[in-house]
Amino acid sequence: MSPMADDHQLMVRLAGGDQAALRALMGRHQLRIYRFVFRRVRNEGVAEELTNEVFMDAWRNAKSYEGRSQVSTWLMSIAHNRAISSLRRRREEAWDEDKAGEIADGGDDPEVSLQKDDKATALRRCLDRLSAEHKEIIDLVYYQEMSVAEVSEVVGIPEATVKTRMFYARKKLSEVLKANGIDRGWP
Amino acid sequence: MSPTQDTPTEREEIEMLLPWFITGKLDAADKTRVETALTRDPALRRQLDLVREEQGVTIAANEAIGAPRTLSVESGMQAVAARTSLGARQQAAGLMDRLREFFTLPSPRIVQFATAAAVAIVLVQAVAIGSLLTQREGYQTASGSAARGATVIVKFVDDASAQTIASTLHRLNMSIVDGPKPGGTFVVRLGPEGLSQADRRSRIEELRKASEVIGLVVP
Repeated sequence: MSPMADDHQLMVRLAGGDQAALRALMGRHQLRIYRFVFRRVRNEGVAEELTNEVFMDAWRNAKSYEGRSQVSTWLMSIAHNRAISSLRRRREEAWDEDKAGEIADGGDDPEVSLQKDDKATALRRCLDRLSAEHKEIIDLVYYQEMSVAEVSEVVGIPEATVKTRMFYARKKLSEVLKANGIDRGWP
Repeated sequence: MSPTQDTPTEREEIEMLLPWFITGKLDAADKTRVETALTRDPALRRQLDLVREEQGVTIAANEAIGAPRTLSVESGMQAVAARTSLGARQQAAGLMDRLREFFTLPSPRIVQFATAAAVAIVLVQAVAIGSLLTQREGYQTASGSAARGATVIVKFVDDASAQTIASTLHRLNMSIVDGPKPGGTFVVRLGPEGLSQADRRSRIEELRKASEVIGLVVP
């Protein structure tokens, strides 16, 4: 049986109150969700708490899962909403594209740091400087390997916006790199 | 390229699809569109290399995030069980309020009453949790022997608030797994079953150092 079909069966069992199904779902998705949330909130304790809350929501709302999307997408959607609520509560990070390039790492001046890095490290530093929205979509597409439709469901934006947001995230990344002396030749 | 236009050109569409082409998340028609465009557009092929580069770095950045020591299926299950039982407690008139009373009211008579009330609510909890445990494949909550782990009996100081107790135990990565018992004691989980004697002594010492909250530890 495929992992997707397994997940759907687990949701059916979960809706029936089967805690073993919840345990199995956690075993499959806990770390990915934790990483996704951690990349948003940047705090281990908060990320762990939010991860637990995602599964609490799954436990409580299993009956509302209609099987139209993958379970991983459904869980990630809960995680997205939990992370946004947490960020809003903490007011640590504005949900604002204009922040790109403004977040300081500490230590060296960013340009000096980038010159010291190899290209992969420089790329990673610049990824971290993107806005929350841009980092999120890049994670969802490249790491969580979600389709346009799945990202649309998780983030709650139209599919066309998913494509343009991803495009601008990539473009912004190139601009941040270029501003720090690394010209990728695009755009 | 200007995808802000209402209708992107074919090339702009292809450019926007490249990340999903790399991850294999395009439907057959879009995949063919991208493949066809790539065969005749060297600039698109170069951009595809950039997309691969971005993907590699993103995966590495995510994989570098290790799970904290406290994150596990077991801890997650305990969190869900606790919140589920919390709901039951709230329906039964709010354990936290009663715990606050328990830890703040000085009168022995009232303390006895609060203890009795708390015990009653814990019983309600136990029924709620127990109903979950009767499912097949046998999940055990913190009160189950396997999940209970290494424990000690603790008595909190009289004027410690429920919030202070909760934050202290959280800081020490410990939890209440049973109680209050007659005499106002609680069973506190120090760590997993099989904790070495040295670790056990060390954990007990940590508890004792929290003297602003912990009145007595019975190993």
